[in-house]
Amino acid sequence: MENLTSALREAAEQTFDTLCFMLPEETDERLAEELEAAAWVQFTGPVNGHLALWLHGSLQATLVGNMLGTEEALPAEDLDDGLKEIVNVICGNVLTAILGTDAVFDMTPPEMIDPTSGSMPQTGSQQARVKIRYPDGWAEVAFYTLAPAMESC
Amino acid sequence: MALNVLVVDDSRIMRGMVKRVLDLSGLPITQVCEAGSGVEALTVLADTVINLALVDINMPHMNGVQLLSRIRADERIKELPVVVVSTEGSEERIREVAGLGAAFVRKPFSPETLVDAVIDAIGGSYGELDFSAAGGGGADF
Repeated sequence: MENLTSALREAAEQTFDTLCFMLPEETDERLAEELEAAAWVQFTGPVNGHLALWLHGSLQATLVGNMLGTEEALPAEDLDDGLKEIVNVICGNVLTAILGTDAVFDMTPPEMIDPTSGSMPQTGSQQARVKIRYPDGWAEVAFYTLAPAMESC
Repeated sequence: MALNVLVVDDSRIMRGMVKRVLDLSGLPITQVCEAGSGVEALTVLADTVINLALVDINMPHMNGVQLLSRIRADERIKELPVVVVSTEGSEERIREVAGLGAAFVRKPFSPETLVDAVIDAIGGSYGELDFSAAGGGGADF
């Protein structure tokens, strides 16, 4: 479980850094609670499950704007498209990190999660969850399996 | 000689990100076309002379591997340099892509990694190009 948690954190931080040029921030400041946006992606393969990403505060515009190198306001459709791509990249990287390059996975197109509830239409067994603080808010990433808990992690 | 590039990805933001990296690369690019799926990509390839394609794998309707197979089976475009840009980490899929004559770049990629892969992919076909202003740390990202 510890390995999975650190793999999840590493995949998420690397994705935010490389795709969005955002580095995590160390702070004791209280985290904003307001949910801004969330997305999830399902995967099938040696392990079936899903990965979800919630953004709190006001991170989404900065993350997606940085992907395009723009400070201009982007339409909501583009903001959601960017968030879905981020969750897709994190998922692909965490699956390879924990199960190796021999494992073959299929991922469904990522979907947005209803921000009013923040809950996914599918339940699963949560295997790991990490919170990462950034200057304008924080990201929370969780990894779920539909099979019994993963012994190898 | 200048390049016409096709970027194939179902994410408009990712297409925009790849396009921005190419724009800033210093490579002699004339036009960057976009497609949101393999099917759309084949339409562009039928209508436009393309010198390089950057292709995602996981896309609806026709995925990147299926698109690559269609390209290699088409006499007119079978030599097209292709760089697959994907979250895929499985050796099996990467071997499949390599077997179809494409380079592979894993997401998330740095601009330098993508530009280096592009230069490697087109280098053989476009040896007369001057890349002195492109690649590695040469471009300002």
